[in-house]
Amino acid sequence: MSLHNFCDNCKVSIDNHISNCPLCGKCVSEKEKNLLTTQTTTYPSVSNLNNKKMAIIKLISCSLFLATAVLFAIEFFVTKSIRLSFYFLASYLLFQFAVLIPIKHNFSLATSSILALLFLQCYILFIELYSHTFGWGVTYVMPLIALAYSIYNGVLIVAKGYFNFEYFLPICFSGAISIVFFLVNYLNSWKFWPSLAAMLFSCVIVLLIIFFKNKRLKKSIEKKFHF
Amino acid sequence: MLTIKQLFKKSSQYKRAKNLSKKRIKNKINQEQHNQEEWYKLDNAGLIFPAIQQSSWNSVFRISAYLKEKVNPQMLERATNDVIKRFPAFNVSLKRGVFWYYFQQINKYIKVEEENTYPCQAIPLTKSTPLFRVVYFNKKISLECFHSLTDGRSALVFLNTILSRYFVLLGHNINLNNLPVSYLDSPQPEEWEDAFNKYSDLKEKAPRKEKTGYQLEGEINKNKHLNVISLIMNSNEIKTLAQTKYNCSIQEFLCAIVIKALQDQQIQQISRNTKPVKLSVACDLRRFFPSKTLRNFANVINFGTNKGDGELSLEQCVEYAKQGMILFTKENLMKINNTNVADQKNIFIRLVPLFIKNWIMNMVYFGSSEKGFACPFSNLGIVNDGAEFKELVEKYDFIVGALKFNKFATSVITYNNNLTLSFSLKVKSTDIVKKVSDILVNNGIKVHIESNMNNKI
Repeated sequence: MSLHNFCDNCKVSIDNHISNCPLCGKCVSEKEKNLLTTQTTTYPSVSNLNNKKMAIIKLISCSLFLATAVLFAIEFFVTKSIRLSFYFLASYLLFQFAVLIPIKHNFSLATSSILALLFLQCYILFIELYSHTFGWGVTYVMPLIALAYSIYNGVLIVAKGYFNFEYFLPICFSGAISIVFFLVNYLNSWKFWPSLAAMLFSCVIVLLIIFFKNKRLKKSIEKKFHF
Repeated sequence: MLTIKQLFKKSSQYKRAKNLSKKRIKNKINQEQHNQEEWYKLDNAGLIFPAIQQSSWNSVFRISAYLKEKVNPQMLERATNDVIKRFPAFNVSLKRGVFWYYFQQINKYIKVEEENTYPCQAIPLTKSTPLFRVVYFNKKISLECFHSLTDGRSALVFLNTILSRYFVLLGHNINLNNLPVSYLDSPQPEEWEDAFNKYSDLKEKAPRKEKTGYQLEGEINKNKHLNVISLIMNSNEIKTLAQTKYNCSIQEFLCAIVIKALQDQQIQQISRNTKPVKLSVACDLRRFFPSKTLRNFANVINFGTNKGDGELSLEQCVEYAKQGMILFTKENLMKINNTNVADQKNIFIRLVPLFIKNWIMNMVYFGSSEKGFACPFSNLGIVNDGAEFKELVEKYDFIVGALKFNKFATSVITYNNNLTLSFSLKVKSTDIVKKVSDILVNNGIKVHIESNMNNKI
């Protein structure tokens, strides 16, 4: 053993790099000094831990909340109504649930993208209903977003070969949403070609995977649903 | 000069070779993808840890080997990546299923880093990160594992296998036959079995209910980092003292010391209506049920003082420890195992979605699990596997990260006549360790201390 310090109070020998006894806190007596110049410690010197990621997320979340509250106050006191502020509130909620929470809780790519799609669709529906300009969201924008999402997942699956259930689920989800849009538009005799395109694309990708990569998919479903 | 026929032959040979190499590359990719599709269910003990994790905490333990020479990081990294192929179920990441978590094989290249933070920091359980880390500092190599992956005994086997490869790469002569696992062998399926399920007969079960025990109090460290204090002493001295003066084993003696220290601490705070002071002592089930598994295969039994006990002498605490150690029989451990496995196999519990299960397990854990004992106590015993490294390894260290609610944890490991009793504390006060040290010193044991407490910037 190398040369050590000794605590007269606790009657224990202590590693020579420790100047204060960990048990009683007193400065230890130096029996013989260690003359080695190289480091002989067993633990590194560390600064206090800071979880930077959490701190930044909290900062962004608080800043946005504060900005929304300030806008509410300004609009209320200036225009005596809070009509526009609800748009900011909806945007804040969208950003919170679609971006910050997945980052904070380290959701997987599939879960994050499903949440983003879901909240984006809700946001567009809210704008459509709140602004009384019904017709552009459900008919065009939302189905086209679902189509873009299906194309994105389709590229991931086909080009990159990601046949996991994690990538299969988002395509099923966007397919289900597209079917809902198609039915809503068709039954109301609105323009249904965007939702039809999204529905057909998603269904084709799902069927291709089921028919040509069913073994991989089966294994993926088996581990996901094992009980 | 080649003829046209020869040229044609050569070009078609070249094409065949090119196609063959393309096919080989494609097969290799398919093989790698197939390997990456290998997955494992969590063993019975491993199910609770992902459920109770927090963003800044999960259940991690560390085993360290102190070498006689400074660590060569490049060789260590190479050794780790050579050896990980022998332990395929270690190179996994944690994934969420609909009903249970599972391990997904990732075959990732393991990067070895210099230690730059506190011991037993939370291991990220996200995406495709391995559930263990290998770090080094000066002459120390440390292996930190998430507890769902494996237990202390198997982690020690893994670390020793890395060390064997590391020393071979450095040019030392190591007889791999003297080690329990050689990195030259192929992995065996028995090493990944869920031994809990294998050895449960679900006939008799142990009761779960436990009374609330004494909990150490104190101001928690900032960011909940761990203060580690290791008491190093001569194992022969301890053995002689335990046998001659107290007529007990080393394990019973060490448990008794910790119980006495906790009881004294409790008496200082409240002089009457004391709560029972209990330790949660881990037991390697491989001693009772033969298994080659390298995953979790250990259970715990809580024992200690009774409610209302006043100041106790060390002899009285030794009696309590002896009564506790008597409980470690094959029948009792089988009952505990049956209770745990029965919950896992209950059809209603199995069909509950994972997010609800996590919430329930968290509530049950908070309500009952850690409240019954003051600290976990894990003893890895004597490191016999490291006999090959006697000239190269000075000592081993074993640190158990403090649990979710308990304020500290105790762990023991012995190598080359050095017994290391380590305390990992979430609190600033070190009174409990001082009490333990005083008991040892007063009994004539020479104690040497190592700690990370002086190393803050």
